[in-house]
Amino acid sequence: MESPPREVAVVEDDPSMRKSVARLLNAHGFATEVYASAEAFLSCASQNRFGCIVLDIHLSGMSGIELWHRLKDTDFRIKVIFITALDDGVLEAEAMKAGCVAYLHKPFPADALIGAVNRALGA
Amino acid sequence: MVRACRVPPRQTVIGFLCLLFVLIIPTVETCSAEIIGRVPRVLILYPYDERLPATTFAGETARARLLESTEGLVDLFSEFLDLSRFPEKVHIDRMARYLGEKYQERRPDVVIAIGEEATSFIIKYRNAIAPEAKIVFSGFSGADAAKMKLPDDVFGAFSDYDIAKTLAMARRLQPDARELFIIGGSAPFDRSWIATARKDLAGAAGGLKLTYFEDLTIDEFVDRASRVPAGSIILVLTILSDRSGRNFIPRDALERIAGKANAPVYGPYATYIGHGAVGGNTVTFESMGAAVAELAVAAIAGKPIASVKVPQTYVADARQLKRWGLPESALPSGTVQSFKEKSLWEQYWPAIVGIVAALALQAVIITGLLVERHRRRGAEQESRLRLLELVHLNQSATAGALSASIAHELSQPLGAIRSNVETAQALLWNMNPNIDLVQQILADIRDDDQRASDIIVRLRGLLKKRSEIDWQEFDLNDVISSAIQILHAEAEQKRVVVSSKQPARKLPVRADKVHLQQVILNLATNAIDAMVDAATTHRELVFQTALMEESKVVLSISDTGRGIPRDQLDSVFNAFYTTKPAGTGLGLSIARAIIETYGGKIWADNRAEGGAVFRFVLPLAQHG
Repeated sequence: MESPPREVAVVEDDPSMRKSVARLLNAHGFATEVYASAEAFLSCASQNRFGCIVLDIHLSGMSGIELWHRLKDTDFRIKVIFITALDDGVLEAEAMKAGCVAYLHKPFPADALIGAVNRALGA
Repeated sequence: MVRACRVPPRQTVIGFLCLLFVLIIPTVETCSAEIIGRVPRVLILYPYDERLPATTFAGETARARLLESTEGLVDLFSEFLDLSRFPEKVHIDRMARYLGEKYQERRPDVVIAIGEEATSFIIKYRNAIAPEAKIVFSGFSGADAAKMKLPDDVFGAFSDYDIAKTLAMARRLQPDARELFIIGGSAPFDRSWIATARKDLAGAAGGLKLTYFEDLTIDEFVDRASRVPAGSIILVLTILSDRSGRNFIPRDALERIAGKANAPVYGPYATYIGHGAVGGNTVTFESMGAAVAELAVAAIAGKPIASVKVPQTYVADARQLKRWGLPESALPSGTVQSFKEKSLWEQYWPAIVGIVAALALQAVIITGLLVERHRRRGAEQESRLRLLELVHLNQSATAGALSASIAHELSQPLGAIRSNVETAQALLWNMNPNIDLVQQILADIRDDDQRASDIIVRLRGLLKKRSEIDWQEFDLNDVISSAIQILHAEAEQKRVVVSSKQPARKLPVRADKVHLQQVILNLATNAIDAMVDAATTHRELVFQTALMEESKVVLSISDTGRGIPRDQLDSVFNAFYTTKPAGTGLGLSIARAIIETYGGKIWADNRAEGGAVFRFVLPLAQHG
């Protein structure tokens, strides 16, 4: 069995948050690719190289939830870690039930994200 | 003077008159019958010339009363016999002939004789002048009338002068007086007066030393009067002529004496008042005239008549009382005072009452206005405080409604800060940490901290409570930008695209910044809520500012929501109007109250392409 790729995609429309998450993952040895919107991620030709995606729920344009549904409809089985600044229990329960790796509330501890990424990548 | 003037051959005349009286009686009785159906004729006979005020007053009063009583239906004639200057028999006879001829065709029905001399004259020449006339007289006493032995059909209004009463008045005013000086002229009438005084005052001057100044020239009278002891009493009777034969109007003579006198001067005539006399007991000439007029009216009417007494009066000159320091309170009761200086109240009471009333009214009005102003200010202050409290409640409600999006907004920098901090920590654990990267991370942490701080500042502004309006001048565009930042997360969450169209120039307005921001947030949150049913691809919130009439700025906030029913466009600003299930219905009414507080106007409309647009206009703080 081929080991899953170690590269992580970060889809976050807040530039500061996007940069800091990428830095954190890099500092823990993960390669990252950042996208400012769901549309930007979908337009990327090589989505297969990502082992997981750190996905903000509330994106301008297509939301993180919509992107996830789009990805689930494809053969591409990417692990998803949601990050959000909003406290929406219903949405969280729905996401967890649907199989997301983690649902993190900003600001979240580094351990939570790194742990979730490790789980996503099957480490 | 009216009192008396004895025509020398009086006894003869009287005898003749008595005879004449007997002859006249039947004539008089028929007279009343004859004057029926025509205007009666009345002749007023004055003893002297027209300059003498006493007789003129009496005659004029009688004339006026007659005209009044007959309503003008009387023929009045006046004749001045001038017997003072022409006492000679030849003149008297000439006057009698003249009058007899003059009135030949118009015989008087009634003759009013003023004074003793005129009465004697008409009785003597009655047959020649007015053979059928009734004769009434005035101006002398009953005692004198008795001496004259007047015919039985001649009646009069007796003037009884009582010089003793004049002295009594003087003694009341000057109880400490020790000497009495009596002055009289050289004319027969004057001498007659002196004789009367000697008789009447003999018993009345008890305790006083009496001195008579008589048979002197006017200058001597003046000189003597000027040298009497202070505190004395001077009684001036009449001076029709002095020792030198110089004629006077008595009041003029008295005026000269009183002007130099060293003591108060009194006299028995009302005409002396105003010419230096303190006062006296008198029969006024007006009273004489009125009384004799009543007799004449009765005679014209054919009514039975009888002699009457003219009432006596005390008269006084207030200026002379003041001059000599005599107490007004010592005046006999009923004294008629002339020249009394009225008190301010007496003189101007209508004006004073008017002014006081006007001032009182004015004071009441001013007090009322001040109270009203105070109440109004209090009410305005109260109203302003209530508005400020309402605005604050509204701010709190807005902050509550936006709390989720504010929390989201704040979570972004906080999340970034935490990730950056933990990244830096991880880097620093390395043996060779990438210091450049750590520095970049620290810089980003600082920026995110500033970003979080800005959000908190905006939140603080949103929750700021005012106890009074904080007037500031600011650019309306800045407030719009600030509001958009606050709404950003909320709009984003609800998939609303926010845009702003602002002119390049500044739009300075003068108001409380927080209040205007609240108005904008109210309108914008309403707009966002109104678009909840719209397609997510068609939710647009547009802020647009523009100049209006060069002195105002208008802000429009439009949405692509469901719009407002046309019949409710005006009522949306009413308190408690709401279409939201959890709305208070106060947001728009508070917005209107705020805008009107700053001299503006707010209204709502529907956009032609769908959705609503709210506009408010405010005056620019400065032009250009």
